[in-house]
Amino acid sequence: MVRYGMVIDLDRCVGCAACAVACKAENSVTSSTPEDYKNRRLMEWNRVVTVFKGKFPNVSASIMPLICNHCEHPPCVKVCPVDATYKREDGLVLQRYERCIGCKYCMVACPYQQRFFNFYDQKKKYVERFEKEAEELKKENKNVPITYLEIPYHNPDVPSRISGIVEKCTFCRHRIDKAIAEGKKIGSPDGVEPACTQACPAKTRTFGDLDDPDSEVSRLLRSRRNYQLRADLGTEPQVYYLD
Amino acid sequence: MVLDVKLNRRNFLKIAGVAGAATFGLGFGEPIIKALAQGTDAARDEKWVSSVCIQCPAGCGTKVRVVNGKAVKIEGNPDHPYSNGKLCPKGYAGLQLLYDVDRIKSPMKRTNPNKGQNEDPKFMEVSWDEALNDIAARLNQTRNEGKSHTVAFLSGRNQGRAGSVWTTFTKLYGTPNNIGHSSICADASKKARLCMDGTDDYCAYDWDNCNYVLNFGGATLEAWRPTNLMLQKWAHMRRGRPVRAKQVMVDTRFSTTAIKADEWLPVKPGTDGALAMGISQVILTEGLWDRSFVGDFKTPGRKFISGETVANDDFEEKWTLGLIDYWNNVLINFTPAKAGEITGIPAEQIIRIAKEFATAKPSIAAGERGAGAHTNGTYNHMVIHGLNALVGSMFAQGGVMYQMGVPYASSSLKDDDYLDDIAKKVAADFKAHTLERIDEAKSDEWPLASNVYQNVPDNHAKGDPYKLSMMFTYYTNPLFSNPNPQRAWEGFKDVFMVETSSYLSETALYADYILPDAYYIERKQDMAVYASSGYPVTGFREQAVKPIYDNRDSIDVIIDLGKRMGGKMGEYFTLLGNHENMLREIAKGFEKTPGDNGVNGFDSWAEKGAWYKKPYIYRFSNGNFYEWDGAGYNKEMKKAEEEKEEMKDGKKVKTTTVKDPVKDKLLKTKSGKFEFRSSKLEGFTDKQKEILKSELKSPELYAYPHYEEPHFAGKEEGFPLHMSSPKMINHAEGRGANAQWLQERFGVVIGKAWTSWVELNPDKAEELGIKNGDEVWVESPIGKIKVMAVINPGNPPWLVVFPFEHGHWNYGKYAKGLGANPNEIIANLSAVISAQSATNATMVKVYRA
Repeated sequence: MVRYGMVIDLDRCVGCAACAVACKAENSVTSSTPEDYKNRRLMEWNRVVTVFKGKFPNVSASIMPLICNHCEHPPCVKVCPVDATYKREDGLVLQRYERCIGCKYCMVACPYQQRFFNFYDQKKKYVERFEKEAEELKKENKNVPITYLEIPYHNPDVPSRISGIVEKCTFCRHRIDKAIAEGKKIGSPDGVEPACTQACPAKTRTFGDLDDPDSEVSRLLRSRRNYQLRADLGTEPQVYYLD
Repeated sequence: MVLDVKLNRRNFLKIAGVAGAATFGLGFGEPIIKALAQGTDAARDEKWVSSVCIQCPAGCGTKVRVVNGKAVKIEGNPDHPYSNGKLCPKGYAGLQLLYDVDRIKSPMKRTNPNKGQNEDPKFMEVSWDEALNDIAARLNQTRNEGKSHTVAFLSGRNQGRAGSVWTTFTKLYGTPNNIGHSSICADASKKARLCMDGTDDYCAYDWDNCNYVLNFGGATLEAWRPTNLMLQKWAHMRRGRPVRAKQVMVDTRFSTTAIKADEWLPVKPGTDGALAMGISQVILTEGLWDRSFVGDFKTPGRKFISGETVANDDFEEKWTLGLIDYWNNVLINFTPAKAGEITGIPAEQIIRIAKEFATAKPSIAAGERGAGAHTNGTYNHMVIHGLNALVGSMFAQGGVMYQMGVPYASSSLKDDDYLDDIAKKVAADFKAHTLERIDEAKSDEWPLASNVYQNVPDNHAKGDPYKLSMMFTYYTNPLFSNPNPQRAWEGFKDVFMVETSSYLSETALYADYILPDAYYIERKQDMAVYASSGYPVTGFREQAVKPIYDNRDSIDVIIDLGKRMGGKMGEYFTLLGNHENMLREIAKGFEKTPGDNGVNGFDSWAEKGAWYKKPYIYRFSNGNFYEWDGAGYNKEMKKAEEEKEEMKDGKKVKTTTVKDPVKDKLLKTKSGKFEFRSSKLEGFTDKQKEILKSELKSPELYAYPHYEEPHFAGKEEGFPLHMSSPKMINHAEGRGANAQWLQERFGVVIGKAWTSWVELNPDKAEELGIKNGDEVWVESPIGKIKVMAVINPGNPPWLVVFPFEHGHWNYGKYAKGLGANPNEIIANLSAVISAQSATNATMVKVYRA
C-alpha cells in the first residue's frame, strides 16, 4: 500500500515561510485583506509560527512550520456528520467541498488547528469589488481589463471555493492525481511533490511513501531526531518533524 | 519554455479518465469532474516561460506557468544556479503584483500643479505619444537654455540594459546626474573593500566549502541578498554535507538569523568594528594568523604581545601591506576586554570566537548593512574585511572572492561617437570639477562615494550646487525610502517629475507624468546576478504574458524618448532601435563562450532563462595565487617581465613592463597587496583628507581600519533607545506592501501581519508601562509617529525594532494608510567615505499614545 507522509527537518528550516506563500499560490487559497486579518479570517493551510523561550539575554526561539498532519486516525473525519471529510486509501485526508455544510465540527476536533472556514465565495468576493468600475468602462466602450473580471492567477487545477465550507491542506492532491494519470514518479527527491515541499529553499521538507522502506521519507525517519506533534493524542500524524 | 504542452480536449479527457479510474470512489477531484459534468471547454494552452524575479536585486531565475495567456504560478528555475528550482517567499508574490488592479494603467499627466501629501494630483490619461513628445520638448528646452545638468535620473533596480540605456541617455543629453540609490542600500561594505583590496563590490562567498561564518549585521535569512541562495546554502552548510559549519551572527536584534544561528552576539549598535578589532587582536596575540597570506615574524614562533610595539623590520609581510603599522597604531591596546566594554560582549566570548574563527578554517567574515548603516560604517566594514585577510580567506577555498563579469558582446554602436557640443562640455566640466553632481558624489567631500542619494533633497532645496529642474525616477521612491523623506516632500515640490513606476507610489503622486512600466513578467530583460557565486551567471527574462494594461517596458520608452530628442542623440537611439536588439547583440558573446547548460546565443538563453559558466577561476592556495587552466587551479599567477619592441621616432625602442596578474585581477590596490594601511585613503588630496579628518574622532587613524566612535542622532538630546529599521523576509524593498501573500505573514517571528509595529524588550516595556498591542509614539529629534507596540522577548533593552515596509500614502488599496514608515523619524546621517546612509544611527524614545 501507498501511504503518503512528510518529514520536516527543523534543523534545516530557515523560517522564511516560502512554504506558506507557495501553498497559497498553488492552491489558490483565498488571500486576506487587512480587514480579514483583523477579523481572524486568515486562511493558511501552511503556516509558520514562532515560540519564544525565556527573555534577553537568556532567550531562544523555535520557528515551526505547520500543516495538516494527515493523521492515520484523523479526529476531523470521525466528527464530520456528512462524510465531507474522509481519508483516502493513500493516506491523504481530504475534504469534499460539495458535501461540506460548514458546521465546523472538524475545525473544533482538529488538535492542530489546520482547518479553515471559507467566509466568502472566492470569485464573487473578488469581482464584486470592481463591478462598478467594470460597468463604467463598459459604458465608455472601453476595454475591461481581465483583473476586473476574475482572479487571473487562480490555478486552473484547483476549484474556486464557495462560501460556507471548510478547507484544508490536500498534500496537493491535484499534483499527485496528475502524476498518477501521467504515470510519473511521486515523492522526494526526484518525483512529484506538494508545492510547499518543492518550494522550500532549505529542502526542509521531504514527501513520499511511508510504507516504502526505500523512500527518502523512510530513510529520514530512521533518524532518532524524529517526532510527531502531540503523538500522545493517538492521532498518529503522518507528518514527522526532525528536531 | 521547457515544457510547452498543448492539451486539447481529447487528450485532456484521456488523462482525466485515467485519473478518475485511479481515484474512483475516493471523493474525486473537483476541477476535472466539473469540467466533465458541465461540459466546459477544458482545452488548455499551457507553457512554462523563463523569467527572472525582481522582488530584490538577486536575480533568481524563475519559470512562469502560463495557462491560456494567464500567468498562474511562479516557481524557481531549476536551470538557474541561484534558484535551483527554489524561491524565497517574495518570488511567488509577483503574480499579485502583476495582476494588481490598482496598477497605473496608462500614461498619466498631472493637472494639479500643487504638490503635497494631501494634494490630489488630478491625473489625466494621455497617450504615449503626447507624453513623450511633451517630455522631449521640455528636455530640449532645458538643454537649449544651457541647463541640461539640472536634469537628474534617479534609479534603483537598474538591471541589465536599463543601466546602459539610462547611462547613455544622461551622457548624450549632458547631465552628470545619473544617480543610483546604492547609498541608501549597502555601499559601506563595498567602499571598505575598495579601500583595502581595490575592488568596489560586494563579495562572493564559497559557502559550500566554508566551515565557519562570522556575520556582522547581514541578515542571512531575511534581507541579505541573494536571499534565496543564502537560504539554500545555510541548510546545505548544516545538513547537506558531512561537516556542519558554524554560523555566528553578530546582530543588534533577535532576528530570524539570530534565532537560527549557532551563536548570537548581541552587540551594541554601531560597535561591530570594535568587536572585529577585539577578534583581530586575539588572532595576532595568539599567533593564529595565516602565515601563507599575511607573512610572519623573522623570528619563527614569535607572536604579537598586547601593548608592545613591533618594529617594521621584524616582520615580513607576504600578500598584505601595513600590518605592523595597523598593529602599532590601532590594534596594540585594543584588547578583548576593551572590545567587550564597547560592544557588551564578554571578553572570554570574544577570545573563544576569535580562536574558533581562526582555527576552524576555512572561515568567512561577512556582513552588510547592520554594521554599515552607521556613521562609522565604512570603517566597521574595513575591520571586518581585514579578518578575511588575517585568516587567509581572500580567494581561498571556502573563503571570499569577487563576482566575475558576464562575457556579453560589446555593442558596435559607441555612444561616445554621438556626443554633441553640449554633452561634451558637460562631461569636460564634470571631469574638471567645475560642475558637480547634485548629490556631490565624486566631489572633494565624497571622492569615493558612488552616490549620495539621500542628500539630493537638501542640495536641491539649498540650490547648492544648483537647483534641479527635472527628475526622472526608475525603480526608486525617494519620497518614501529616503531617511527623513519629509525633506523630499518639501524639496521636490518645484521639480518637474517623470515617474516610471506602474504603482501609485509617493513619487508617482508627485509626478507630472507617469510613464507606467511593464511589470517584469510582461517584458524581456537580461539580469546578471547579485554577487555570491563567484562564477558568472546571468538570467534572461522572457515576456511571459502581454502587458495587461497600456504599459510599456521603460527601456523601450527611454529609447523612444531618445529618438524624439532629435540631434545626435536622436541619431544614436534610432540606430539602437529597441531593447530586444540590445539583448540580441549582447547574447552574441555566448557564441564564443557557451554556458555550462549549452546556452550559446539569444534563443537558447531566452529558452533556458540562464547562462552560467563554472568554476570561479582564481584560487589562493599555500601562499600563491592560481588560475584555472581547464582541469585545475594549476596556472600560477606570477609577476613577469614583458619586453616589447616599439618604433619611436623612427627608432626601435625596447620597453620592459612588469605584468602582475594578482594586482591586475585580484588585489587591485596601488601596492598589489591587501592593504591594512589604505593607499586609496592616503592618496586623497590634502583638501579631501582635511574634510575626511574633520569628520573623525580619531583623525590620525583615517587610513586604517579602526573603531571610530559612532555618532547617534538624538543621543545628546537624551533620546534613550537605539532604533533599528530592518527589512523582513517578506519585504520586497518597499514594493510589496500591496501584495497580499506577503503582507498576511509579514512578521514571521513576532506573528503580526498587515501592519507595522515597534518591537520592545519585555523589561523595557514594563518599565515604560507599555503592553503588547498598545499604541505608542516613537519619537526622535526628527519627529514622532504612532505605531503598535509588540513585545519581542529576544531583543535587548537598549533597542527598539521598527521594520521598514508600510506607511504608504497610496500604493494601492491594500497598502494605503497601513502602518507607519520608520524613515519619517530617521535623521539623515551618512557614513564617512562611502556615504552609506546611516539608517541605524537614530535614537528614539517610546511612550504610550
